Amino acid sequence: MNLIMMNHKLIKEALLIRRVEETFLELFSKGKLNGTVHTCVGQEFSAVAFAGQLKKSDFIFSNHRCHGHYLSFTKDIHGLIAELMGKKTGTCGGVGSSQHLCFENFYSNGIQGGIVPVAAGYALSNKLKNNNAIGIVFIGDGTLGEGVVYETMNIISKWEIPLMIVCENNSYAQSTPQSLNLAGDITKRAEAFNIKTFKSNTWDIDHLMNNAKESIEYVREQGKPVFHLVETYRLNAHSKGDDDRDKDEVEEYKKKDVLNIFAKADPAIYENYLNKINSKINDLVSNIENDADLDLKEYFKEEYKIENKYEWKSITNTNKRQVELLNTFFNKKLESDKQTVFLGEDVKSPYGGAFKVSKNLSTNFPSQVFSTPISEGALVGISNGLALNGMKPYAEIMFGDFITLAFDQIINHASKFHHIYNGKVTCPVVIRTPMGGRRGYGPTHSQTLDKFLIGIDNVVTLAINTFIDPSIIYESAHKENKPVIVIENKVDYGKKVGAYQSTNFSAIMSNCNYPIVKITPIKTTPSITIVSYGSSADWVSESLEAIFRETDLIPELIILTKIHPIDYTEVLNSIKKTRKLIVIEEGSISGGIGSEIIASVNELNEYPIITRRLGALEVPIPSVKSLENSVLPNIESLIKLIKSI
Amino acid sequence: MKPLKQIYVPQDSVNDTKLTVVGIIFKSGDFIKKGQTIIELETSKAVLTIESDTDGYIYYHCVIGQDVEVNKLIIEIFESQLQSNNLAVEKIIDKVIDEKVIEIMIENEKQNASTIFSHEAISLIKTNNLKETIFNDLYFVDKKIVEEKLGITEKVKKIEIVKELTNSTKFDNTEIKKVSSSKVVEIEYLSEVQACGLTSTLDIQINMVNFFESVNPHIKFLKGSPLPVIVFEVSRLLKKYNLLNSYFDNNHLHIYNEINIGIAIDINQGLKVAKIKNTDTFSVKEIDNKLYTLANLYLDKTLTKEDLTGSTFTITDLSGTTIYSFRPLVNKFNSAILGISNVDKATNKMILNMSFDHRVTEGKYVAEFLSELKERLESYSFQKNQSYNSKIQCSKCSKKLKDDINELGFIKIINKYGEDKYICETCLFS
Repeated sequence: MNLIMMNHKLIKEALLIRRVEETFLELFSKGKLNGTVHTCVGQEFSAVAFAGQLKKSDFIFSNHRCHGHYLSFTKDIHGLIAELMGKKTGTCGGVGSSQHLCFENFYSNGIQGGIVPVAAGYALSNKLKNNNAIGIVFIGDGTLGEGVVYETMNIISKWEIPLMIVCENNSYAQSTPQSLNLAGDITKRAEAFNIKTFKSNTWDIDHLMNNAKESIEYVREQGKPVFHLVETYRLNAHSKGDDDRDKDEVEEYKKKDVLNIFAKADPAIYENYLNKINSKINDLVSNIENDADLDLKEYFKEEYKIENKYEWKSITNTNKRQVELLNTFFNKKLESDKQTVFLGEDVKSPYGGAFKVSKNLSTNFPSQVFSTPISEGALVGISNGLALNGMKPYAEIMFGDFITLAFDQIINHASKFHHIYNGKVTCPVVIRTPMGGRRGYGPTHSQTLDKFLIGIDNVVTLAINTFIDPSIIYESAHKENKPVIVIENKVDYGKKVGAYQSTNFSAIMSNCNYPIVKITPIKTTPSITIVSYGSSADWVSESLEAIFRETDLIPELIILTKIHPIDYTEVLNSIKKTRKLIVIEEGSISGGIGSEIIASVNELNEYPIITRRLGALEVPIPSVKSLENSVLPNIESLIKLIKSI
Repeated sequence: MKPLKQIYVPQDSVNDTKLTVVGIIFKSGDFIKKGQTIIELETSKAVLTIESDTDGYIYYHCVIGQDVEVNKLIIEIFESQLQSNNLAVEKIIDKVIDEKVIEIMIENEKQNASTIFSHEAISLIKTNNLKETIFNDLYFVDKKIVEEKLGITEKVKKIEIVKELTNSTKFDNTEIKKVSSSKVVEIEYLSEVQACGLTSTLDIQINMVNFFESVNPHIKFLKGSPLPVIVFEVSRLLKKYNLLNSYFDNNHLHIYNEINIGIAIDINQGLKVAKIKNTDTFSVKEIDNKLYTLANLYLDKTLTKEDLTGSTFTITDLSGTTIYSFRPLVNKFNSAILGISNVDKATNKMILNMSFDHRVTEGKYVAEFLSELKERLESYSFQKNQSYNSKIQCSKCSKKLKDDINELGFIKIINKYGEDKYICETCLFS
């Protein structure tokens, strides 16, 4: 029995974790828990050593096996039990349950690896605030299979971010033994990124406690990351009823388990502690059982699709290129709001981003602009972490095509944080990316993936155009509490904003957060409504006269800025007059924005209307100019479609 | 003179289709030297300067502030100075834009608006020899507007003709008589559908051989008239062809959910349409009875308002005359009317005419209705020719199959002695 073993505070803390988790298993068997439970029985001292030795101002990101970390860091036993029992009094109102906890500076999420860049962003925010707080992100050895972990290791090392990655190696990825899954050495992975590494285990508690403390101090004092490998063993199944490990092996580890050794060595004291803990837990459980469930009204608030009437005004000719206006906006924002951070690949000057939006930003605001490695997942994840920790990050994805690499961060993290943590946090990240073809960039640099970016719950999707000064739209996006995706278009960057001219059509914009542009025939009732957005709006607006001449239908063009969720007021007003609706998108139409708009309009509108969709053909976009033009929607295909009505 | 050098707008960034001229260093006609900067163009990334790689006289095809497209000719350099306007200078279309100009442009925008015509409108204008200038007060002229214009023109003409006639019809040999008020109502009533000019009539010939021989035994009052059977069959067919049991109003189609056939009666006391409510629920016998009752009420002038309103389809019967065929007029709140003419004794054939509102349906639909009606009516004649019909009788009530004018037929059964027998529908369900 070593000295640490004499520190009964640690024993009690670990025993509490074990008893709470065993209680969960009992409650699970009685059908009183929702979902499943991943216990850390056998691994408790890792939680005690790391989570227990942090300061209140520090933070933790954890994973699916997070109860121990939670209890050691927050001491919130009631909140945890109530959460797993699905009660309103739970730490997240019962919404998140076992894998999704949030209390003060503690966060957990059930996606493997996804929390690592988020934690890095959170830590980066602390570094920018210069508040001397550090953070720990817990992963398991199974998570070493996720690429975003390495993207993040690279960045935290390069940017000297005060974050410790604690890898709890229990030798199994769910049920698969490490020998089948893991090549090479674990700590060498971190060493390759020039990250200082530590090694501990949960059987030598003395060493574990000291080593944890030392590594925490290193991160705090040096302001550099650490990778801390903790060898441990899970004595229970991965989750429930999924244990195929060799029984003898498990027995071996049960004998090695520090709590078991303590129980044998000093049964009277152990019993005493156990009884106290048990009665505390039992009291809590019987109290919590009577608590109410969260009401739907408290969890979900409906957003209305129809807003009030707007005021209209003429569009303003800025005589400036869109890229200049974007650059001006970010210059002003980085100056006026010091919480603003700009991240992206190649965004540093003199290059200033692939499309020059960030020209001179890094020279003007060196501490707020970050040029990232080619790591879209980590770049968006870090932005999520920054947003969770009070910053306003603008993440640039160089080409819209690459946003697929960040989908996990958008869908499983940014969009969910607010709700799964029951409204405790917001994640006001802004992700910008240029979409669109017509530049001959070919299949992987010309796509319009808008349809994958609409309909993401609680994410606002915007598309800027050449009619409205983008700073108006970004100014509103800056104030959003929700995650925002802004779709820009590479062909629009060089165009001058507000330069639209027509003798027979007038272009007006609504006076609201995300203005709608309406190009309407002068003193004439339109006979067909065209809805578009982004760069399509540009070529359609120039074709309005041709459309009328060729089709005998007088078009009214409605250009949306907010493409999710959509405010249908103007579309409904227009189709009331025309009863004909065409929606144009640059991606292919199946399952796209056109389908969404037409379905919604049909639900909201009382009259039968004729509808058509126009989009790209369902093939990759070819580089050949003539072929690219035929694949993308164009004026010929639009007129042909209208004539078919 | 061939230029020494032609300079086009370069493509500097793949994303810029237009560059802005921000600096013109010389004046057109100036002599420049190799290596001198001659123009500055702004891209979305930077300002590009172009140097001359030859000596010569420079001529610009652009002005400061102009947005010039990539690959557009902007400068030519010649060996010697040109005579003025000798050069085919491309017309500068792009306007120089500054803030004030923008304001003025917005002001002018509305004033400069011109009339644009759709291709369909133009071809209609041409075929009708209209002048395009008559549409000068409009911004958009589509086919509909031209048609409206044509419609108005026609109407004006008609009114003029009427005016001429009224002016000139002071015939001495006429006696002026006021039209009766009932006639005025009738005119108003019939104008509703006919006025749009979109009614049409289809005719069909029915073979009436043996028709009355097979029908008369079941009719008490209107023996020798095809009316009861026609009312019976039409009322049933209207369930299927419900567009003919409807009316058109203000671009909406109102389809009745009951069938009330109106019978136009005119027995020297003015035309009246009296209805049989829920016609489709009655047998031929009952219809015969109803028709007889209505005729008596008409003659007694005791038809109520209820009898005279609410018919959903009208049948007008001129079978009692020697009329061969006629065009009935569709009544208000109806979409169709069926006219019955006299049965030609020589050929044993009868013409049915059906007028309908073309705004509701079209000829094909009505043709299908009439064909089916013909088939049904001719099946009455058909029965007589089937000699075995007279042998088949209901084993319960002894009704003969030929007497089953509802055409429901009998059901073949096997009686307790194992013999093949028949049973009529009435006995089956009673």
